[in-house]
Amino acid sequence: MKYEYTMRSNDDFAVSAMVWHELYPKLKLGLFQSLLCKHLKIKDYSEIVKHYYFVFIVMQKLVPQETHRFQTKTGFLLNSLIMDYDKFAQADEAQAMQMQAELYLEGIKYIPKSWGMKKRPFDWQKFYTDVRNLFVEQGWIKEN
Amino acid sequence: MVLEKIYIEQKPLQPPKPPSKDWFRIILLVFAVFALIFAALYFSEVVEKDEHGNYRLKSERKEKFEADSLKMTEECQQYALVAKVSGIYPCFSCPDRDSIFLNEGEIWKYGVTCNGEKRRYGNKMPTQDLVYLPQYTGSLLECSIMETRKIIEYPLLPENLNRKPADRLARPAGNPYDK
Repeated sequence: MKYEYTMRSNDDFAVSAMVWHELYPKLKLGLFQSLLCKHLKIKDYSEIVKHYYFVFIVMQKLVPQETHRFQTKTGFLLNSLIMDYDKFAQADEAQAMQMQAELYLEGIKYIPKSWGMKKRPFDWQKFYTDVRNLFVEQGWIKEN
Repeated sequence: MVLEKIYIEQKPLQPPKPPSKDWFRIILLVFAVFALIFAALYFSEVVEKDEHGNYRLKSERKEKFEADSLKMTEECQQYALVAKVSGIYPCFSCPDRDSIFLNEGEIWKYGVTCNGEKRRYGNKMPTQDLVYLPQYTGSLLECSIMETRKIIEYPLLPENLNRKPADRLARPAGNPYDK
């Protein structure tokens, strides 16, 4: 597969998925992306990262590897994490949103360990806190 | 005052000669000959004699057959790339333009990926505005049939029929060929 074309979206935050087609309606990618882009700016957390791109992986067979990588040339920080397929398939709408929110937060913890991010500044703790507060406001996760 | 008319003898304009295609044809021919030479297999490369003097296939040739056969049975995945957001997307199947408007959820491309490409496949994330949706898992042959069928039947999808006649596509925007 080749993805060498240039897409239009140049938002600070992008959320996409590799998901079994029947489970696709359960993912609310647009909600995540619009919420993050509306309330947060990536430049508040890093001077070198221009876009943070997160991918939910919800597949049962031929599951791709998780990716945690920073592309210096484009300023893209890519993070993809695997969701528990069976659990997500059985989850209701509220549970599905919670799983997505929790996985997204989990992904933030990988940022300092991502390939190409060592010794590069990114205030991931502040990013984590801000994102978590947003998700709590939306009711996607419970406040501790 | 009489102005002297100056006649400048001009030769009639000759139509420009088309560039000679002979050199180009010769280069193409040489290339084709070399391609045939290197692609051709000689009998002696694939067959040997056993201890009794009978002909048999060389082990490398047998291994290639087994590898190719195995590849046809390995588990693969037929997938669709769909638009995550409504907007303009590159169009490789449009005869007269290079982009097209897609609504959220509409198909951009059908494809197939196999276990053997897992490493590369794992690093190839969808672009920001596309979602990767596996639709079928099976052998390479089965997935290839599924992929081809979906590309061929794409023109009849409601999302395509709902477009203005001039905007309807023969294949998904991301599939320039039937395969």
